[in-house]
Amino acid sequence: MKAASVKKGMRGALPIILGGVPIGMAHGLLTRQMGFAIELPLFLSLFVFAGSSQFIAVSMLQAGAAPLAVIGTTFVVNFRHLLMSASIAPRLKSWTFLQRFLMGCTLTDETFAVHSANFAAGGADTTEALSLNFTLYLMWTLSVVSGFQMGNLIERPEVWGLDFALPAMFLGLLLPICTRRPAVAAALCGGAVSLSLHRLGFGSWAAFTGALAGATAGAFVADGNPKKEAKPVE
Amino acid sequence: MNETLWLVVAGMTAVTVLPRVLPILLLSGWRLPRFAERWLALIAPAVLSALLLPELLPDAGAPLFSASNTFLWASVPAFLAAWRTKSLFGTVAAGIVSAALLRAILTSGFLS
Repeated sequence: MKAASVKKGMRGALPIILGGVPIGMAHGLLTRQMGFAIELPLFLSLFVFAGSSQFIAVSMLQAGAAPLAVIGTTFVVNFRHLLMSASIAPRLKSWTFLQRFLMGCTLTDETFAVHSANFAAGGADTTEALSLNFTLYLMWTLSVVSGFQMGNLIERPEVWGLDFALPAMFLGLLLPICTRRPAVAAALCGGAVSLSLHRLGFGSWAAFTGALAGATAGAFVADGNPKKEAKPVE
Repeated sequence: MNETLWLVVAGMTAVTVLPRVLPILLLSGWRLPRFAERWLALIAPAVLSALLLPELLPDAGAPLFSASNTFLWASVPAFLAAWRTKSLFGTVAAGIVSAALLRAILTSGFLS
């Protein structure tokens, strides 16, 4: 391991930490408000390490959802990582088994975005990439724990708008990927199905069903090339 | 933490680690059928929207739109921030600040 690469990876993690720390703190804080002990957000951060799933799991658990519904929703919410993992796999051929395993465990939306950009640019330094991932992992866990500890200072997080951190994060992740018609169709259909199920009282399975329905609907929508379509038919 | 919570954490660990790790370990240079690839790629927008919309609009019983629905109105500046800055931090910051301001205005009774 080269110290310079470790440092470079840590520096690369900085902009992502900036976005992640408020979300992690909000997660810790809200979990405490819901009456859970620190073990829950701590072990979720250490073992699951997936921001949106952690938020969702805690709110589902508080609402009294069945364990299977929580695990099923987590599976669907994180299923996108399968595609990300498959997409960077060919780039890691020279990595050892352990290195690939560690990369997989610390794969998130953010690390995927950074690494696929780096790999495309030619730089695939193993030490630097893993250093970036583990810096994020550590900072995420620290921010969740410190948010939990701050819970007794901030009595009503909703006054500070902190309960909006999760919806805002979904919005911030969703909008940039809705650039093409199938993605927009998937989002519209997934949202509509999920919302309908919620209003009918089937909230526990709404995200799961909405995701499957939305992706299926989107997959049948033609990925029209906007430039081609703008041309008049001759 | 009780047994149920441990079970949930263990189950969540399994279903998050496996999809992340297995492709990296097994599929170097393997390709899925095109339709499967398209479908998998669309899971992300579908699930994010399926999670987002019920947060912004109220559950059964309440009217779909109301002036006091902070999340719905806070999502407007958050949407603009997401669109303009394309940054997660910018979006979350704009959303949190807007939600806090809206709550302050609503609870002050300024509008009533």
